[in-house]
Amino acid sequence: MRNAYEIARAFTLMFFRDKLNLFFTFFFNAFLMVLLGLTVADRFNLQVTLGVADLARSPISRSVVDGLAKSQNLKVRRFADEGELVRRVTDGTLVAGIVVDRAAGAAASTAQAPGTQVRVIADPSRRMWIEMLKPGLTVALLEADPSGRTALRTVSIRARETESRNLSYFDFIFPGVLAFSIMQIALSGGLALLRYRKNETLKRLKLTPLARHEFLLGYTASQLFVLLLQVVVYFAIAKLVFGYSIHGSVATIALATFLGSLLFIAFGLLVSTLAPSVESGSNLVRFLSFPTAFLCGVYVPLDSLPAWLARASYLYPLTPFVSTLRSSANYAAPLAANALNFAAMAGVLVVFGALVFKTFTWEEQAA
Amino acid sequence: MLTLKFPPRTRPAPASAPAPAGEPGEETVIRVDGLRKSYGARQVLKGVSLRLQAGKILGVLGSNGAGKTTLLETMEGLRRIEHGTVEVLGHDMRKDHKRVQRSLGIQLQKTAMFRNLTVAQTLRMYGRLYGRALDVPASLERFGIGEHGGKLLQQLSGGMFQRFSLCLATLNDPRILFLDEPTTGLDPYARRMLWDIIRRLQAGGTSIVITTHYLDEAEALCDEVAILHGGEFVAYGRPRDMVERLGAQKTLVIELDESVEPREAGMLGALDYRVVDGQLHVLTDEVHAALRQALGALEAADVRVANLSIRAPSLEDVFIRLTSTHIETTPTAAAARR
Repeated sequence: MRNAYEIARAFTLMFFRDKLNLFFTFFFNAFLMVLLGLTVADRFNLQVTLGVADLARSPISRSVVDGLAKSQNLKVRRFADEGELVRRVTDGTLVAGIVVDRAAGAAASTAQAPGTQVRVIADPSRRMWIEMLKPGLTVALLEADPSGRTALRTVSIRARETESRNLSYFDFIFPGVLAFSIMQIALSGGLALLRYRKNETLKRLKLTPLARHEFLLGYTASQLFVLLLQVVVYFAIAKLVFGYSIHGSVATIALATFLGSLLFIAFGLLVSTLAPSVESGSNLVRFLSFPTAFLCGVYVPLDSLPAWLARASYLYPLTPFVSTLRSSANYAAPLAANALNFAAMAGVLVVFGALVFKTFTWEEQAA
Repeated sequence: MLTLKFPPRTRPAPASAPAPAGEPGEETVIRVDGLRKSYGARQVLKGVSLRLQAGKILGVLGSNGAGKTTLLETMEGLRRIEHGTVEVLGHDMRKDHKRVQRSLGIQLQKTAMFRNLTVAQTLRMYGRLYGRALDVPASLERFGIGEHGGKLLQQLSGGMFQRFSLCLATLNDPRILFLDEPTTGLDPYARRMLWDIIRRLQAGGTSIVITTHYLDEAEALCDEVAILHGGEFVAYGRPRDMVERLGAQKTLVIELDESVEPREAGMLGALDYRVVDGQLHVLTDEVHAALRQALGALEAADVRVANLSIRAPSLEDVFIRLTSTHIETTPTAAAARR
């Protein structure tokens, strides 16, 4: 353990002595995050996922729903009952929900105004979306019953307050950027190791009594320290600049962060072991980083991807990591709700860890 | 750097020289027998044997790619032993290399370290890996770099770095020290400083194996040298004995007047000579006769001689004779010739 401590200390010292490392770890992604948080605000997602519960099941109500589904800016998800729809709005999965009451069909036929017929259910913070929905709904109703002007008059739209959080675009991206930065720094660490192997620094260490597992342990401890420090700094920036606060269990978030960090440290070590050269390692890291920013729910919601792509993105460990952090921090999802994500991350960690122990070498293999 | 190329000369037999037995009663700290090593289809070592006696310095010489580093790293336990035996400090390196390495000091050919740590931090870290609490300033002082403890490794000059590298290689008070081309790229002053350090270490009882391209260095430092060529030792013994035995010819060095362009052949009558650095070099056993013949030929051709000297045979002559290949001469050696 003493040897592992020496290695951890050396790597940590070197890390804090490298200004470029410090910039990329603590400022670069944080700067992007702040910039996007301040400028994009709520305008980021022009396509809204809307839940619709058609309780009337009348020809007119069906026409209303079909009319909404045709809208380019709306993605309609149908629900059989109101309870499930409200739950999805509450947990933030949906921007808003629309309930077409049974009275809607009756109103159209009787030309009376029986009260609420179409109700929009959304968090008050999403007033912008509600305002955007109104014209679309009006058009849909008109198309459904072009002759029944009375029905239109009887429609009143009210936003129903739910328990959903007041989420901004920053709230959305923050957990994603956090996970993404952890991944980036851990993979870059792997590249540094690749360089140390190439220039025979590791070979020199091999000549000392330092054991392989001690080196790996020391390196991992140093990386973990840096990554967790990064998490603290990012949370502090989020709190100070955007007033961000965690709504879920801190323990769940800490566990997810710990597991995700270990996973990507192992991934970085694996890259350092498997990449034949520093150049190919750099390209591999670029390949693993750049597309995943958009495909794993970091900056762009998975909802906006085709369903098959959103499902496929779970094959890359960043997606369960982002998803777990986001649902825990923003929607207070309990640990059990993310059991599958935790299991996936733990599974990948075990596999990567085993591969690292099997393939790690101090020096380049002789041709 | 000057590159010389000489055609093959008569090669002494046997091709794979046997390792000297050493003085009776001396402890043998390294014993290598029939070591063979291949990288793919390329056989780098073809049955090499050697002995190193305690407290001696053995120089392994050879041109680039001759297998010096492979031989050293096999003795250090860094390379797998495929055929043959390597015994270091009485231990079979096939089985005990990790344990033996604790008693070895090793300076790799391409010594690399964490360049973002300071000299003192690096030394302290390596010391602790050996379980030693070092007096860092005193350790650095011994190698003449006491005032550089606070510098980052990347701020050290080449000579400083090599001295620090040697300091690191000896922090565990090794019984055997392996130095792989420790003075390559250093200026003559820095080289001589390192020679002094190496001599001090030997005086302290450390046995040393050194590889070098500088034959004057081998001659100055080594008790024994082994010349590796084509995967085999073509000569093995004390440098002076080797020169006497294999490099008996003296070199007559004739420097012509600046106005005369030396020709590759025919300038010295029937004498065999080479043009090196614009000088005519005649290898001969009979200096007097050769001198008379050379001067006669030049006189007849009305060529003026600017300078003339007779050089005693050196290890470099032996090396060139045996390896018949390119050899880099040291800056000092080249300067001396001029």
